[in-house]
Amino acid sequence: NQRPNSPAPPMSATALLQKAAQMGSTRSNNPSV
Amino acid sequence: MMPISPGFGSPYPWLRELKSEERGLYLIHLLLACANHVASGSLENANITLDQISQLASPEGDTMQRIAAYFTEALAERILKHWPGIYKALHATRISSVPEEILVGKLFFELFPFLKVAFVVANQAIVEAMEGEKMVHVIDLNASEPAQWRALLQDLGARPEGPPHLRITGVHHKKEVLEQMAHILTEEAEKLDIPFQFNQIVSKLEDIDVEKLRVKTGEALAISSVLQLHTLLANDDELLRKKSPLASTNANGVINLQKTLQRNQGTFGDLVEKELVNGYSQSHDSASSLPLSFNSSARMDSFLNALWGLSPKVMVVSEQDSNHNGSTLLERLSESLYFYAALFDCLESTLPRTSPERIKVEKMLFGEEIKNIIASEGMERKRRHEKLEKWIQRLDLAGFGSVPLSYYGMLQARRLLQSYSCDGYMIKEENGRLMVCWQDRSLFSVSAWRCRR
Repeated sequence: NQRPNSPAPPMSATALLQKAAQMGSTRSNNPSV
Repeated sequence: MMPISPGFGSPYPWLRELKSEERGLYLIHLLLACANHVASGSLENANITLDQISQLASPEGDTMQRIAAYFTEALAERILKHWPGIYKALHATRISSVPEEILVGKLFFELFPFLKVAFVVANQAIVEAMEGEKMVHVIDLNASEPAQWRALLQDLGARPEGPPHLRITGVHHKKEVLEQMAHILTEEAEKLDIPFQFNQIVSKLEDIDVEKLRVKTGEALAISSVLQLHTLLANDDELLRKKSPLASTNANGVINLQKTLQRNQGTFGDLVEKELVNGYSQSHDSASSLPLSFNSSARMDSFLNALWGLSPKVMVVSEQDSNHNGSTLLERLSESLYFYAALFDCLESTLPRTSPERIKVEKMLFGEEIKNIIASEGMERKRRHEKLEKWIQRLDLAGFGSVPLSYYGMLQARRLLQSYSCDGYMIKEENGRLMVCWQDRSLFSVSAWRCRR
């Protein structure tokens, strides 16, 4: 429920690592991406 | 290939334009890329990558910038060890200060709930095991924090059957640390009117002679090891490799993140694509390719056997619950990235970025641990954290049986965490053992044991 002009809170390092790993697995399941 | 700028300004001005999230993801990529270069021995490429990271990382920045700063330092140190002369020269004037070391230990105790939880749970297990005993001897294998024993004195002083004669043997490599502890505890025991004696054993755990612990017949023994047993896993890997016929086989470590980023061209887009040209061969580090089964440590086995021989009524073991003892650099890097990311996130949610205490603990405690995990090999690599399941196997093999932590011990641990103003911390309970977690990631484990006959 953020106002459109308020910046998103910075991602935690844990979340960034998870995101990096997730991005990889999405790509490996879906090579056409 | 990127040009190498010998002098002023940034050769990669576009790096500074990145937003926090992009920068974080890019730092992860660069760290893994750099580790790959280091592992495969392409130091020139590693150097270029380090240069790029240095544009982005900062010990005073956001969490990922901070972690990246320490991991790059560790990777650089590893590279530097290819030139022992330069390495030694650069470390020649390093001063290690005992008061600083003590301070950093205190900060870890104060800023995180991990040790407090471990102490509360351990003391409860000790008090329960010592019920009715009149002569109690406690051996602390890492005697650096008096708070645990001060609390135990109070618990024992409040026993319905009255306090026992208490003897604590503290093992630590710095005399000053033990003396301070002796002073604090003796004073507390006098105040509570408990007969008390403190034995100091100035030694590193690896050099300890179990005979010196002077366990007497007739006294009930408790052993406590807080974040210390893993140091005994330090092995002369080189020697083992020479003996092992499987020496050159890769340990088959699956590194999710590393694989992830190899496939990552589309997501980071063009930004990342040119980095991939450098090539990510599944190279193995020349200095580390032992199969896991050869990681068993004779020294650990004989030490645990010796402890078993002392017949402790209870032994409480706390350890970092993460595997930083992988045989390849890349395994260790990706596992420790997750672990330290969680610890740095804990600090981010409790302290401002400019807090000098926070920077101290990050640099002098975590930064040094990361350096040891990443840059050291063989006997020098002491921070060989391993997961609880490994400890269970090892202690079971040495003849120890599990003592489930009591309901009351768990309750105290939960209460303690609730009193923290930060709700990211959790307690996980598994078969009578306890894990302290940050969100859903287990970081530290506490388990209790006794001699199985």
